[in-house]
Amino acid sequence: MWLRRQLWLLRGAHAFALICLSVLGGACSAGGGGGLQTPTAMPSASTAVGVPGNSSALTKGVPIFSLSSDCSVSKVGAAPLSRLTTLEYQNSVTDLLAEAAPSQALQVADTKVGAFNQNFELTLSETGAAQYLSAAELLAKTVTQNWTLKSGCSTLEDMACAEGYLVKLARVAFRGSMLDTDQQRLHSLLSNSPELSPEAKLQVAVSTILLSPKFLFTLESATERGSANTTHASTLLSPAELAGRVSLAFWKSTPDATLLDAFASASTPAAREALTRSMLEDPRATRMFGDFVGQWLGLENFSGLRKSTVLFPEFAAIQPNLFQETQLFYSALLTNAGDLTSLLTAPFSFANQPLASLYGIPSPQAAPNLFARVELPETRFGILTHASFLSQHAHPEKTSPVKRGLILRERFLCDPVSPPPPGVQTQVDVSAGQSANAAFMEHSKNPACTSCHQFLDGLGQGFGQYDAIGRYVAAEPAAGEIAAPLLATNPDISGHFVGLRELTSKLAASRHVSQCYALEVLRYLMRHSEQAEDACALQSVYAGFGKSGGSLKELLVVAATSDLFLRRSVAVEVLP
Amino acid sequence: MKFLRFGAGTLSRRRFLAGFGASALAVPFLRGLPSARAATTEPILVLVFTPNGVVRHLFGADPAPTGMTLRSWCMPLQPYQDQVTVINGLENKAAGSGTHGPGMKTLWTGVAASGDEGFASAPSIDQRIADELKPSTRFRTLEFRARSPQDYTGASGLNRMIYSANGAPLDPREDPQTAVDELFLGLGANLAPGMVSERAKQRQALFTQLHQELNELTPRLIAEDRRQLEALRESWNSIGKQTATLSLPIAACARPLVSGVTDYAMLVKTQLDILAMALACGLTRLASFQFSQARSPWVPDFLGVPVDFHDGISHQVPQAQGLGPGGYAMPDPDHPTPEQLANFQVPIERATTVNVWLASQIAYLAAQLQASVGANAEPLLKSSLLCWGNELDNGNSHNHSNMPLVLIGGAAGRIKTGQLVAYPVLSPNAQAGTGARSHNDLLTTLGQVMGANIQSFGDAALNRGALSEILV
Repeated sequence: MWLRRQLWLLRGAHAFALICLSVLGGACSAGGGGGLQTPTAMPSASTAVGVPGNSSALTKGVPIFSLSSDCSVSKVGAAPLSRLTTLEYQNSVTDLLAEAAPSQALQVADTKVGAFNQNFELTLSETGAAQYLSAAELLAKTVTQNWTLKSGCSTLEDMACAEGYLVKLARVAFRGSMLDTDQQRLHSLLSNSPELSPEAKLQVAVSTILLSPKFLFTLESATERGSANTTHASTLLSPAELAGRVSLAFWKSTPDATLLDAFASASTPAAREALTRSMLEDPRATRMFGDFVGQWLGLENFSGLRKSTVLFPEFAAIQPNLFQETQLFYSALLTNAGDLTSLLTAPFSFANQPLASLYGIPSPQAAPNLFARVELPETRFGILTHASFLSQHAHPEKTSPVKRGLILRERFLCDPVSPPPPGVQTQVDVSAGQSANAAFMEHSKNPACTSCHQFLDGLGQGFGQYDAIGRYVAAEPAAGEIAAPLLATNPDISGHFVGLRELTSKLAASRHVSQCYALEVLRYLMRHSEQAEDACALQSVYAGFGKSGGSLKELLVVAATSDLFLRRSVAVEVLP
Repeated sequence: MKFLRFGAGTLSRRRFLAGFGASALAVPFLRGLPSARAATTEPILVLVFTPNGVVRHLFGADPAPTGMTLRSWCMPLQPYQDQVTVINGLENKAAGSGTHGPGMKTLWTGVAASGDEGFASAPSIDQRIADELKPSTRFRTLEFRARSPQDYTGASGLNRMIYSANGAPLDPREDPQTAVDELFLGLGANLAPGMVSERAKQRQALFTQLHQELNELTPRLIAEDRRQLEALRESWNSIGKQTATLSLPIAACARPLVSGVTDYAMLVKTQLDILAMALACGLTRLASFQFSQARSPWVPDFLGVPVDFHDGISHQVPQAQGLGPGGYAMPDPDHPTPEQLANFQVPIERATTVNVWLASQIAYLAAQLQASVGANAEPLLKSSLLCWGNELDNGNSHNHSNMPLVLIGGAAGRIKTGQLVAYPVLSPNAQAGTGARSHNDLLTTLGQVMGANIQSFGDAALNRGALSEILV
């Protein structure tokens, strides 16, 4: 029996090296609390859940920005077996069967590590299994009811034709991990099973494919064993496995037969790189762009966002379209050679009539709800000034420098932050005539607060000119302070700034920010956290991204042609 | 009376007590309610969760010559007060000095947990009871949740409270239509009676295929990956057993209708209707119902409260430490002075609106069970026990000293109802882990009420045995 090394140690990875870990005192109330709070013992390192008794675990999942490592041997960390995310399931069903995924299967919960859905930690619950089952049965019924259209077979009784279709379906659905035994089982089901009608047999066969672990999970490792005593080594994926991995990353879906064939004949790095580029030109890639930017910036549940209808009566009307701006903008950068600087400072975006009115610019289209490219006024530049981002990271009734500082700290500087300690008034009263930033001065006066908030508020103060729904409200740019990122080995961003424009320029110029962005993209694409063994491959991706001048698309190409995609760990141990 | 066999129990003929003790809100649904429970005295347990803590002087009950007077946040339960047991003074010691996450992970497991990230690692009491009793009902247990539009949609330690024997979180049913389709499969329009055996046959063939594949794959995997496939295998086994019971009649069941779920209030009502019907039909005896999640970001705007429950409400209420005649030095959160509350008028009004609404939803569930016929032709509520808990004591202090815990229902005569049971409350300023009894003892008590041989539950050091003041 083979036992791959314990990649389980990934669990809780991002909880390591938290900001504010050793802070004493919890009550950071700035008004409203009546001064009744008292410092209480903060849970000591309560959120740092390393794996007891194994200190090597603590080096895992930590952002590796410039770790020295012996790169003479090709190494990568082990990729855990993980379940498809809701979006991946949905897209896969659509691409495989040209049918919408039944709602049951879309309720199976995803689990996050850091910003991203990475379903490797939890096992699938029975409720989830039952939902996949119902969905598979519904889809199988639809397929057999439209059998000729779907399979190309003239009758339900032609089992030889059916087998040909089902094998092709499984080959694509299993993303390169199909085994000979899969075909044998299909054959046996179709040729035996006298208790079932032909239609029932075909329904069972389709359901079997849609409920196979090879479809529902990433199961590359099951198709090939490593040999003994090859710990820390890695092996190249087969072309079909690679096609499966890249299609899951870039299309959030299965490959198709054409792509499997193309990877099979792409024998040189140049050919694989060309394939990778063409995949990003495919409309299916835009599903990934929108998904990534939503998870990365915390916008994925945007439809649930609520604002005070008394203070912001206009918000309900604009809300349904706000996230669309960010998705369109990000996709446009990806497809039009955009770079990290343009992500943060671009003078254009996409708007419909209500959004244009919020931004104070002329409406781009006659039809009020259609989005079109717009040139932004002086007050808007890049993704951090999108109304979606600004309203998501604010309270229902007021703005929040803390929330906005927090998202910058976590997503652009890659410092994980622990949640507020017990007993904290997380909302600060803003008196009449007082700016929100001034109210937050309490955080810098009270040492119990400063230890955490020095990393958050200074960044968030850069957003002082934008209110809780992202309107530009103040002419005076606010000053702020960037506390140097804790996990950067060479922190090239820190210090004073005035206004959001200067803050974004500093972010755009920082090498650390660029590596942090690359790392976030890699976490998303790999579907698991980075590990120490990934260090060399990560360095090569950072270098490639830098060499491209920060091109967002080149980063994806560099990632998919790096060892992180081409290889998998075959580190094994022989059990007695 | 005509009886039909179902599992180990017997079901009485369709019968119901429409309107009995029910609110006007409940009436439309009652027309469809069956009488259905077995004529045995086996109790039903429902774990109910509401989030974000309380303000103590508004929650629970005050002692009164006739037993107790419910405080405002529990007043919606007044119609059933003779079947209500308010418990004061139990500490959630397993949550330690943690906040929402540990409170949630320990609420039904009683095993220490820290941090908001990650999950609990031990079974919740309902799952332990199921392991002991091995119920013959179609579903071993059922988990429901009414997820608010602002809640995180994925699974996290803040939104999972039910854990299997090996510590894996169980996903609750969040979508009413899907729940109805799965729970009431074979009933009503979705599967004609003649189709049931066909469905069962087809599923059997499917599970045979899936098991063959799992058998091939499992030896090829390392242990950490294998557990995913083992969980899958267990699920297929369990669903296979449910499918095998599809052909057994459940005459008293009526498939609940799901329509018009456009806001959170409708979602809650619909989910509660489905739960009530599932219990009335005898689909399970162990269930749970979760409102939103721990650290709930729900914005209850339809109640006229336009802020989020966590940041905008529960973090604004007065902290436990500051309440009482001696203020910070001698806190008595049960008896704050008007002066101490003077600055908190708006947050207390908002918190009251939200928590009274939540309590009224629990009362609605009680009304459904009251209107349904259970053992010995008595209301199903008499044989049921709803145990209502929260991840926190005070919503702003984030402490776990005096957990808000209320029991509703007669538990088949196995508990003393209509009373306030008060254990000595640990001072909120005292060190955790001393003095007070732990809520583990309540979890043990729930196990014993259900007839399971459970003498202690959760962390051993936190146990002092079942609560004899509650047990008959």
